[in-house]
Amino acid sequence: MLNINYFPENLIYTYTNSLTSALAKGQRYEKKGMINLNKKFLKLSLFFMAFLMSSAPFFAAVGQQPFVGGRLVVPLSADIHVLTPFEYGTTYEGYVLGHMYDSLVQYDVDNQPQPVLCESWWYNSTYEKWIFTLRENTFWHDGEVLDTADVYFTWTTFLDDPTISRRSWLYNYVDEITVLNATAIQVEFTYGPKPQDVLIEFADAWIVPEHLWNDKDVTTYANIENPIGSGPFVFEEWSPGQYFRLSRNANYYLDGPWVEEKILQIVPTIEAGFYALSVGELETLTDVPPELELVAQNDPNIDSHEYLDDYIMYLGVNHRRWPNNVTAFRQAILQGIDRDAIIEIAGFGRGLEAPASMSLPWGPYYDDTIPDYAYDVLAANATLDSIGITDSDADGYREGNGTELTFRLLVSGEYQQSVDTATIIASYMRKLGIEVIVEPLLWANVWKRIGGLGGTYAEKYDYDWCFAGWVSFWSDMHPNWAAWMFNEDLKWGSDNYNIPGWEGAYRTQVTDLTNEIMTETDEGVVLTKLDQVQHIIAQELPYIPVRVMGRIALYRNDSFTGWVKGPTTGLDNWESWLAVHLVEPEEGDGFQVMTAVIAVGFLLVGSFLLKRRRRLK
Amino acid sequence: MSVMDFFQRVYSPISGFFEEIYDFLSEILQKETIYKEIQKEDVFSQRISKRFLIIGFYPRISPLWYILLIIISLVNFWRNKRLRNYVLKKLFFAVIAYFIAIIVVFIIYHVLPGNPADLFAMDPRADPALRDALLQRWGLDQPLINQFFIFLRNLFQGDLGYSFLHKRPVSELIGERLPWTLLLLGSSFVISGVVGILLGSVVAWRRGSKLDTTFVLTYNVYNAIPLFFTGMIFIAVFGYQARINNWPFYFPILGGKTPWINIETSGFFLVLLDVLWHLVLPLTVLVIYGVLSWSWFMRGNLINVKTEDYIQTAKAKGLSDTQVLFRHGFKNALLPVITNIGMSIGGLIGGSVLVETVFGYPGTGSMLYEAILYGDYPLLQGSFIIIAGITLLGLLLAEIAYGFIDPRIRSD
Repeated sequence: MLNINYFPENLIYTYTNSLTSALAKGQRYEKKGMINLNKKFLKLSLFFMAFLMSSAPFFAAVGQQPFVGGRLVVPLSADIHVLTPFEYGTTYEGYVLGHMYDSLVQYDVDNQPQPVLCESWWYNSTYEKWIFTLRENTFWHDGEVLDTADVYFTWTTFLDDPTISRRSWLYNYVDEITVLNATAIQVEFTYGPKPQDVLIEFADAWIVPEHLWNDKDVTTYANIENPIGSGPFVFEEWSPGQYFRLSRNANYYLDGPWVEEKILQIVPTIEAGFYALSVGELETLTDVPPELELVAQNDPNIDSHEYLDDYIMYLGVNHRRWPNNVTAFRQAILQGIDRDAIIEIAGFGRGLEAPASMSLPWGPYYDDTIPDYAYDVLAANATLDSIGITDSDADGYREGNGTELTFRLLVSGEYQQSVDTATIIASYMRKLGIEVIVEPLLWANVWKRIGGLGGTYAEKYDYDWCFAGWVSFWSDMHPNWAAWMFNEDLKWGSDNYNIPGWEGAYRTQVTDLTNEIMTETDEGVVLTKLDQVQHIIAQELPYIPVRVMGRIALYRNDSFTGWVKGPTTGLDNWESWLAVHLVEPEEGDGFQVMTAVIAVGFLLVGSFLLKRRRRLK
Repeated sequence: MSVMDFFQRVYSPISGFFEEIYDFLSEILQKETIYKEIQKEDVFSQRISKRFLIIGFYPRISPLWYILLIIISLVNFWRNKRLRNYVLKKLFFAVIAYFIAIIVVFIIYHVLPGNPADLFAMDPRADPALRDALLQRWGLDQPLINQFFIFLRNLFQGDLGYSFLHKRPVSELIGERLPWTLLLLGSSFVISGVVGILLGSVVAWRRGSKLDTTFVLTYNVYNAIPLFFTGMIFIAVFGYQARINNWPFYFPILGGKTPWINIETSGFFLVLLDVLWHLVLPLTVLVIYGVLSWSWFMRGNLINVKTEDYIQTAKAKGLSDTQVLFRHGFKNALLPVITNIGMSIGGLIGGSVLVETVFGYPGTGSMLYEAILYGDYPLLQGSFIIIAGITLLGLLLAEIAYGFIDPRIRSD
């Protein structure tokens, strides 16, 4: 067996030995001898060249930063309409914008705020005054310097126009914005909002360049021609209906990105996307059905990442209609649904049972002592009997107030998982003797019927039950989630929108508690009050929670690596944008050519030295 | 300024244009020597004229002659009272129909549920009060009749409206996607039309033969499979299997072109090849469907025509099958097909949502589908006004062609 440790020495010995013996034999003055010498040199050079070419990727891979290069193609489920940080409408637009624009602060996959454009922030003890200090030497993609004037312009634009659709509610409480110097900017609020409020709602807004936006009407400007930001990727091209082409921002102030070019390819269908992933046309794909997931498991070049989403699916009941307004009835309904089975069947085994408190079951604010309402048909039937909802005519269906109970369950027909879930819920209700008719509608109509449009109109609250989803308002990282969701004085927790008709002493108590939490600075007190809120909600069940959404992302492992994965974050997140890089340097081209050039150079220099030596001798 | 001066002035640029085309054609159609020889014989221009059937390609004649010819044609047409009345009647009804179409389009898209403000209202992070602000900003809070008059005024000024969703003029949006749609659906339409009509004629003429039976069976089977499913099968076979099994050829799965191949870096020819390469799968799916549909239609017409007395007469006169088919059967069976072609032209603008969705192909179909979902009225209105206009124009041209082809129609 070849001992590789001795191999180079042997080789050197062979070379030097043959050289010295040739010299000793006086062959150097003879033509034949010179040819022999050159042949040896040539052989060695060729060997060295081959060694260089074969080991170049290895040397390049050892002990250095990720390679810059490669073209990463990722899917975008739908096309965008506008690219303005002030008025974007869809998550897809937000996703594209995030590549090109930066905010002062960004939350990482562990839900921790990270400084991006700013290097630090400071707030006083009452949280009313905040100072953000920007990094130095940050630039827009067009080369202009980014400073606090741009931040001031962005924030005051939001502040001055209440009709801007992406304006945070927090601007209603902004007292003054002051530029302290080129890198420091101060914001004063009329009350002391929680740090999470300021960091999530305020400091994560994308900053736009003043020199390009100061003459624009931000409410009508689409910003699609050549969006200039300061983010990790530079806009190159948008082909409507097809793709976005972005290039690496070589002057980015953070480590990364390493990908030279990123293509956001519009992929309207999962199946076509899966074929594209399988043949390498795409690098990632999210939300594939289980049958395709199984296929992917057999492909050694495809890995998967399962994660939980900040989204809770619930059964909404109209409290304005009897018996939806009876707490025991709602409890019986929740106990009569096997939520595990729903996760297995409709959710392909992805996700978790949603806690009765509607809080995400992780993070610092979750109280895991709340009742879990495990599936128990007997208990559910007993509860229904106890409140007088019984099957008095023995036809298999319960009656209440002399009439047979029938509920129409609205569900968004666009989402098959939701329709499946609603159908399963209806089948469980039949076991309880309750007739449920599933009505799939366009989501716009469901939203309208459950009061989502606000104001007054004919169809408002014209429903019995609905199956819908709700963001959990960052309940895993923000103590004010309960206020946004349940406070009757705030927009989304009010009687409009999602819990029409929930009233009583508990409702008032939850509102008071969440108000107190909003201004409380003692974290211990906040936790205690949040626990109280969660227990009340779990007892009252204004919503009937079903499941926390779980998702899956597939990705190829043969060309790119470095994906940053979190338990509650998808694959293609902000951290991944900076971290993903090629597994190996790009094939051929650069490295091979470079190695060949070095080797040829070596040959030329060697030949020149030999000739020179011969002449001297 | 005399009338002649006017014509000279107006048509001199056109004359120059024709001369440029003439030079261009001279280069690409004929070699220098042949060209010279033919020019000596002074027959080349005649050939060109015959080939293109457009008098404009004959540059040696002064443009005034063209004008004269057009005037003479128009005068002749005008003097033909029946034809004139026929065309004017059709034109009048087309204008009326177009106006009604405009009203219907406007009303339909204002009584449909959902509106663009809901898009923002459904976002939990958006302020509910914002919805009212948006309605006001976009004029959606005004009475319907006011909105209609605003819409009409803009339309007559050539303004198709401003998309709420895209924050851009509707004409710009349509113009952006239309080339892709026309490339896909237009080429599919032409290939399907030509091949379909010929295939339909052949199978109808050989009704009951194995060819006919196979055709009928294929038509029914293919029609029973949804278009998106067929598209997926094509992707699975020619995009996926071909690549993993290292077939000598394969086709891309997504998009209308490769993002990193563009004219600046790769040159026009490579871009053209790339676009055609991406076109193959969606086009094939559409062409198969189109060929079968047009063939089926043509087959039905021709089978009916075959039973007519004049066909029997032609056969009795001793004409060959081919002569009977193309001189008597084909032309008469073609008349309803022409109407259908006229009606279908407008549909090209609407795109093909299913095929665009499956192949991720850019086009107007997916854009309009999205506009429906988000209630982007101006974009829908603008698109359907164009579609209605082109459909009516196609129908008008088809009916005028009818009038010229079939004397019975204009006499009616």
